[in-house]
Amino acid sequence: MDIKLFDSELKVMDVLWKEGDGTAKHISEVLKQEVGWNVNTTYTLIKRCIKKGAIERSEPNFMCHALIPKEEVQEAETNELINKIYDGSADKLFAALLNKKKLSTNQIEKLKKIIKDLD
Amino acid sequence: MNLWNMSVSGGILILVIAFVRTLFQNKLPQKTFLILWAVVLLRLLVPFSVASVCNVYSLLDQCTIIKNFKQNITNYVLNVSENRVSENEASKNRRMENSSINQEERKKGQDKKKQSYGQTMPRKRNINNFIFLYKGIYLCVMFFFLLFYFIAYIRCYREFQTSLPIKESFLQAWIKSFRVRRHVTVRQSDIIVTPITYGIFQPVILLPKKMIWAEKKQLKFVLIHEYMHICHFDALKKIILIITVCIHWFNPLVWLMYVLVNRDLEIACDENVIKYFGQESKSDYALTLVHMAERKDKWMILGNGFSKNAMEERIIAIMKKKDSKKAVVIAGVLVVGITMLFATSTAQTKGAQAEDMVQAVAEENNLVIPSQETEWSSIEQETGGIRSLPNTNYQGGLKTLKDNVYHSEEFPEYKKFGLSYDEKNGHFVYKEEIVGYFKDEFAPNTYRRFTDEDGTIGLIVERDSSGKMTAFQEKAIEKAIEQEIKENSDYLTGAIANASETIENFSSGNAQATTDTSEVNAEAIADISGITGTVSEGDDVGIPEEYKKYGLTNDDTSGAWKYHGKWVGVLYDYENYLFCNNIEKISSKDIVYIEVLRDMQGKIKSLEEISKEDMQKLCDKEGLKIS
Repeated sequence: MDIKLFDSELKVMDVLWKEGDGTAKHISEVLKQEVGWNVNTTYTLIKRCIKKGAIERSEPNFMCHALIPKEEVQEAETNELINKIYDGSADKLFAALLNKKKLSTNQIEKLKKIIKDLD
Repeated sequence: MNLWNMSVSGGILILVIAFVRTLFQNKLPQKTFLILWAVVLLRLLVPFSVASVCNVYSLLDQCTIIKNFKQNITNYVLNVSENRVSENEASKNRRMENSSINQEERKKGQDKKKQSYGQTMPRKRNINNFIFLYKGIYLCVMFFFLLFYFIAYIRCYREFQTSLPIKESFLQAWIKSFRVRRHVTVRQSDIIVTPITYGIFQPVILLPKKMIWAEKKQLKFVLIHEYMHICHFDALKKIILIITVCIHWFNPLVWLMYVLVNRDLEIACDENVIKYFGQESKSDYALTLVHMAERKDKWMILGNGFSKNAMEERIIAIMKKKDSKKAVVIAGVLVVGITMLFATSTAQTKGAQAEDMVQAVAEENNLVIPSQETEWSSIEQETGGIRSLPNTNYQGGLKTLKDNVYHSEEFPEYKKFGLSYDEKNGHFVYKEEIVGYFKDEFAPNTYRRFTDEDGTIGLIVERDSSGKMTAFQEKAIEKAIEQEIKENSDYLTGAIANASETIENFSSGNAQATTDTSEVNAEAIADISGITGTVSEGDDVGIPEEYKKYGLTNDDTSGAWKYHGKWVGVLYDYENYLFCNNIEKISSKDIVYIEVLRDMQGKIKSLEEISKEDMQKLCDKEGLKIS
């Protein structure tokens, strides 16, 4: 299986891997102590893990079960946070207004030259 | 001050600052521009302004051009009011001119009348509907922007909440050395690529996970940079900026300011970092920035995004700027000067302020300020089916007027008694003769009257006590008109004396005119109807000055209105002016229909040529049919 998780999601998984299955409430309590997240933050992350297929949820009490072992998880990499956060059409509007992309290698070289010349 | 005024004066200020900014970008401390931007924000957000005796607007006021412009506007207002006067008034004025009444006295009377017209707000309810619509659209868009930014902010915030604490103790130690009262925390995240600071009261510096293992020197630059942002409440400034943009969303200059302020915040921050580490570190710092830009994330709402141009601007600013006392002095002079010149309002006289207030209060409560308008409109009513469209005492409109009668409720009644209408030529026909004079007194003192120069007979509608039409009384046209003038003057003398004392001048003039029966001729017919008139009559019936700028001219011989060489069929200026030309003899190819477009403040934006069909749609509102 090829599941990519971010650090924050890995943190949630860590709890399940260490302590075995547990309720969402329990996970949130552990994480509040450990990293200072509030309940909503933890719940959001659990939901994301469920969506990615890393956690299986069962009733009652929102029992969480890790579907994959620690060894199989890959680290996710981001450079497109914006897409994840704004998946609505409003994003497209805004992207059009203020979209800014990475600097190209040429531009980087040009900037370095400017610094050298002015120093 | 209303929002529009704030936006316009703020916009001017933005342009000035943007200009100064390009001139002195690398010579003045960036703080200078931030202070100036703060002045703009005050201008845009605070609805009252500090009065100053000397500012750019009062200076402009003294310019002759502006004076002339104002004069034109006044002329125009006067013209409209003049044209709004009903048929009887028009004929009266003209007859008065013929009789040698003291010109001065007449002028005085007119001026008085004109003044009262200048303040009136005709068809107030319609205007209010429009204002209501504009306000609605404005508010909808504003809330859309506010909501969008709010949701984006919340989403970003939530995402940042999922960050993890940093264990590296040297980082914690650095943070503790920050001299701010607020509690600053540093966290790490793998979902961002560049460092970000968020939170105003409990600021959090978020570092990309990979950066923790970067060179300590770079890390120091980054942290001090973020520390400077925190010290100067830049997050709060950005929120205020975004709210301003939402309020002034319709002003592109405010968006320009948004972009420039964001850049200036960064550059000012860079300046502080260099001050902290010393001049010799500036190329190292600049290289760190470039290095970070290589891994730059896409733009993020809470982050400090920089575009290609902005990056270059930033790097050059870092490398070029030097501390100098001279620059500080120039900066001070600039800030004070620009603020004085552009950010203040002209000191108003007390009287003018009071007037403004009365006007504002009245507008707020949808009140029409009591004025002569009410009286005049009642007279217009009494003249019956003849609509007092502004054009009626000038060119053309005669046919339109008769079309109106043809489409009136009473026409079927007339038809029963043998009156027919020749739509093509615009004549009413009775017993195969063209009607030259027509009068119908629907109710006591409420008349419908019209005349036709080609006509040969006079018709007077007879009605019984219940108001039902009983017959047409046929009269020789000369006799009918003679009687008309007599009745007319009696009626007017009475009505106007009751209506308003300002018009006394006119009624006395009118009485004199009636004694002069030699005036009864073909031209007098036209006078009574108030429809036609000769152009040489006076400048004040010509084209309003306001329109002239847009290419409207009087034809040399006929005096008819022309627009860029073509005949003006109809000119429609909503709530202001409606002009119909007598165009029967001109081929339809050369006729243009013009709609005057105005901005929200009532200033003419442009004159648009529209099709005849579109014009008819507009004229439908006025109950007018284009021939």
